[in-house]
Amino acid sequence: VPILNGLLGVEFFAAYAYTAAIPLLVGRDMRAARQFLHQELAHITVVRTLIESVHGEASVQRASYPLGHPHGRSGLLAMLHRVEAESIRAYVEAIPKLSAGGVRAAAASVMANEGQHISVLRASLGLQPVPAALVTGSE
Amino acid sequence: MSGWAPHDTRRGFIRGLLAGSAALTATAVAPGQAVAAVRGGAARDSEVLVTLAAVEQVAAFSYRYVIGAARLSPTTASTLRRFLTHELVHVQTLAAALSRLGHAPPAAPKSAVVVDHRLAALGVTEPLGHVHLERQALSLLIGVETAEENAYHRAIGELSSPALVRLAAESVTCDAQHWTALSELAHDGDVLGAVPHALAPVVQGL
Repeated sequence: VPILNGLLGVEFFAAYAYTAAIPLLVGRDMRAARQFLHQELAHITVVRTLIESVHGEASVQRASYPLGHPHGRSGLLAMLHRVEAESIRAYVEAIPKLSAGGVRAAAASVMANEGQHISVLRASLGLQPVPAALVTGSE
Repeated sequence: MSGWAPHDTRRGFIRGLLAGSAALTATAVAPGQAVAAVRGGAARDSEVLVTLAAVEQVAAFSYRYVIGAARLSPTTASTLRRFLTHELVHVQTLAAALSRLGHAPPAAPKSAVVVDHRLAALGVTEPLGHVHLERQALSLLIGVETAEENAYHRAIGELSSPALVRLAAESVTCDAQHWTALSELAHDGDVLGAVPHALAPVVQGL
């Protein structure tokens, strides 16, 4: 349960970051960010469900999260990239520690989706969208 | 030494011996069970890795075939060549993991006919020989990436070694990124269609 609550924390952070960024983005960036926010909210539901399935107590969202002071489109996208990379690193560390196979597989499906998000963000920033064969969040 | 008598010492010795013997018996069983469990886990891990390696070999063959056979734009050709290098890294990484467990990787497929059969078993029914145009190439490779994601998803639930679980999670995330990039190429940069679901692959029952 503490491992899953750690993942819930990074999902809260990601949802907070997209919520803050969406009003400042336009066009394709805004449409993508809105879709990714919906997916982060779905991840929160998934992780909460996993915690409740083992009769654990899910942690609650904090009032605020440190986003820095991003300026302009590239600053906002870079901030979202940073948050997604942090999510991936958290999943890479957490997944091998989860004992139940079904929970591991579900968490890996969430991590893969975060990988898709960061790939789109990287392309928007003019970076190689799939930079490595093994995704660790440090790319 | 007050309070100690020879018979007490002897009785104590025997009691100690019996206790020690019991402890030895217990420890002889417990490590044996532990060793069996580890061996069982490693054997199962090897089976899972062989399955994954076979899927990755099919993916690498498919990329190589499509790059050689289809008429591709320079952007798409460059992307596919890059993704082929990733698939080859996955093949090599899985072979190395199998080697550490004392197993050889499966023999790589050598013909399109064999790969067509394996692709069909993975749910990709379009034969490689039918791929001539870019949209056909992208459609087939999106199917290949979906099959890889499904294989890794099953594997992550079954592997017992934390290091292998981590390797599988890092690989499937790369394959999900391939899926997204291929989908964007296939659908003129449609970002919403490129990341359509909150889970990759979609997990039933969640």
